Amino acid sequence: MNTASRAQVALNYTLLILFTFLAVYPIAGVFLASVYPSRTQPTSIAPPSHFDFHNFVTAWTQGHFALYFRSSAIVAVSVVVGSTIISILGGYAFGTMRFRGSKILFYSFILGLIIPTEATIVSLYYDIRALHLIDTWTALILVEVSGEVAFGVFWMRAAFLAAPRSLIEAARIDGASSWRLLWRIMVPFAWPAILTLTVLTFADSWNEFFLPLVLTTSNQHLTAPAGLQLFSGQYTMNTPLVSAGAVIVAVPVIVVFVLLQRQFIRGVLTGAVKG
Amino acid sequence: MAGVAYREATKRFGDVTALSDLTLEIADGEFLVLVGPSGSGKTTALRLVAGLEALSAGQVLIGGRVINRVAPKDRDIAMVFQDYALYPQMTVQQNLAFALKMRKSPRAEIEQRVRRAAATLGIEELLQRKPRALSGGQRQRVALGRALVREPQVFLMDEPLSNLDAKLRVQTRSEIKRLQQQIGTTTIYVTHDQVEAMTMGDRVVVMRDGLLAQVGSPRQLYEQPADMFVAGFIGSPSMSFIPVSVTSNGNSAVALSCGELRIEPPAGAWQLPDDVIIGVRPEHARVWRDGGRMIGPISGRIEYVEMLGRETLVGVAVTDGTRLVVDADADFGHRPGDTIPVGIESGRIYLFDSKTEKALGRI
Repeated sequence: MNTASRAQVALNYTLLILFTFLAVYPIAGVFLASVYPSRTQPTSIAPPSHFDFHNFVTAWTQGHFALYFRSSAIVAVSVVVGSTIISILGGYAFGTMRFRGSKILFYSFILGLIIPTEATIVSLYYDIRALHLIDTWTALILVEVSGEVAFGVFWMRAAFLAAPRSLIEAARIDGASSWRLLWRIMVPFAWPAILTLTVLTFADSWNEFFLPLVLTTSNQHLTAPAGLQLFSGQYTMNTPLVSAGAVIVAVPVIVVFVLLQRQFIRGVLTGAVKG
Repeated sequence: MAGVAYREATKRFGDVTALSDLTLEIADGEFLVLVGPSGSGKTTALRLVAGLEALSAGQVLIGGRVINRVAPKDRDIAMVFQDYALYPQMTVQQNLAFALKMRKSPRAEIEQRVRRAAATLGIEELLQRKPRALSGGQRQRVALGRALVREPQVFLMDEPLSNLDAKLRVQTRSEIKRLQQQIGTTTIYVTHDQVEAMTMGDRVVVMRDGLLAQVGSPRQLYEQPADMFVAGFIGSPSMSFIPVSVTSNGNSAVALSCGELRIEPPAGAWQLPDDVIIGVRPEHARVWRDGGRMIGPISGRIEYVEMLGRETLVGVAVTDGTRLVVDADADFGHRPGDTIPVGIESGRIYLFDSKTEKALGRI
C-alpha cells in the first residue's frame, strides 16, 4: 500500500469535510427549520429551543400531500418501469448488436441528453393538448419516460458493453435466442447498473417540478414537488411549516436511496473496477 | 462425431485479411492444434467453425455438410473460451445444464448428463456453487464440463489453459488430452504455446499472418520444418540461425562458411543458392569435445548462462551478431565473457534459403 504523506491526508480530509459541509448545510438547514415551532422565524442554522414535530402533521393534511404523493407514486413508478424496460432493450441493441445505422440512432438518443425540457416545453404542451392528455398522469409518464430513456439507453449500453463478449458468444452457441440471452444472461449480469438506473430515474421523476406544473391543471394530478410549490405559496410566512413540507417531499427519494445504496454504488463502479 | 473441413476459407475484417485461403481436413476424432503468434489467424479459424464469424469466402464443413449459413447453436459444436465465459449468476449445475435446457431436453436426461460430466471432471461437489466461488482451475473444469454435457460433434477450445498457473496448466493439459482420447470427439484447439501444441496435438497447424505455414505431426514439424518461421516457432528454446555463404564447385556446394565456421556438405549434389541460413537446435550444439560426429570447433564468447537444473543453456556469440544457443551439462562451469569452443552435431544442421526462408534440407 502507498503511504500518503501527512499533508496529503490533511488535504484529503479538508476537501472531504468542505464538500460534505456544502452538501449537508442546506439539507440540515431545511430539516432544522422544519422542527421549529410553527410561525416562528428560524434565523440561523441552529436547533430550536424545543423540537416541534407538529409541523409535519399540519403540512401533510393542509398541503394535501396524501393526494400529491399518490400522483407522484403513480407517475414515478410508471416512469421507472417504462423507461427502465425501454433503456434495457435499447442499451442491449446498441451494446451487443451490429446493425446498419446504429451509430446515427445512438447519437440521436444522446441528443435527448443535451436538449433541455425547457427548450421543447411549448411545442410539447401543444402536442399533449392535441392528444387530449392535458391534466393526466399519462402525459407526465409519457413525457418523462421519453426524457429518461436518453440517459437510460446510454447507461445500459455501457453496462452491456462491459459484459465479456465471450459470455454472449457462449450463450449463442448454447442456443439462447436474443431475447433469452438478454433476460437470462445480460440482465442478471447488469443488475447493479439496472438498480442504479432505477434509483436515478426514480429520484429524477419524483423531483420533476416543471412538467407537472405545465401539463396539469388540477390538484388531482399534481405531483409532490409542484404541490409543494402551491403549499409554500399559501404559507410564505410560515417557514417551519413550508420546511416540513419540503422534508416530507424529500423523504421517499432518501428512503429509496438508503435502501439501494449498496447496489447503487456497485452499479456506479461497474466497469470502473475489474472483477 | 464428425470431421471438419476448411475449403479455401477466407475471413476479412475491412481491409485486413485475418485468414487467407485455408484448406484443411480434420479427421473424425482427431485432436488438431492451431498454433501461431498473435494475429496469425488461428482464433479466427476456430471462430469460423463456431459460427461466431461469418466467412468472407470459401466453405467450412462439419461431417461433410457445408455450415456457412448454419446458426452456431445448430452446428452441434461446443466451445471452451479463454476466459471460460461461465454465466456468473448461475450455479455450476445451471451452467452445465443451460445448453440442454435451451434444447428442451427432458429434465431426467439433463440431470443424468450433468452428473456424468461432473463425475468425469471431478466437480460433483461444486455443483451448487457460483463461478465467483471457484478457483481458476475449478472454473476451467466447469467450462470443460459445459462443453462435455452437450456431447457435441466437435469441441472447439480457444486457449483454454492460458489463464492457469504453470503447474496447473501442465496438469490440465494432460487431462484434456486423456479426456479427448477417451471420448474420441473431434477437437480443434487453439494456443500460442508451442509446448501445448506439441504435447496435445495429433497434428499441429502452424499459422502465420493468416496463412497456414505448415501442418503435420508434432515430430514432423520439429524435424522437418517447412521454413524458418516454423523452425523458429516450434521448439524451446528456439533454433539458432546463422547466415553463411556458399562456395560452389560447378553444380554442387562444397562449403558453407561464416567466420571460423566451415561446414562441408556430405558428398552428393547440393545445389544451393549463394546465401543460405543454417539453423541449429540447442540440443545439437555442444561444447566442443574431440571426436564424435561434431562439426567445428568454432570459438565464441559466452553472452549468457541459464542454469535449468537438468541442463544449462548457454548463449554463445559465434560470428558478428549471431548467437548459437548451446545445450550444456548441468555442471557447466564457464561464465559470461569467457570464450569457449563449440561444435555442431553433423546431420542436424538445417539449411534455409535466405531469400524465401524455405527449408532446403539438412546436413
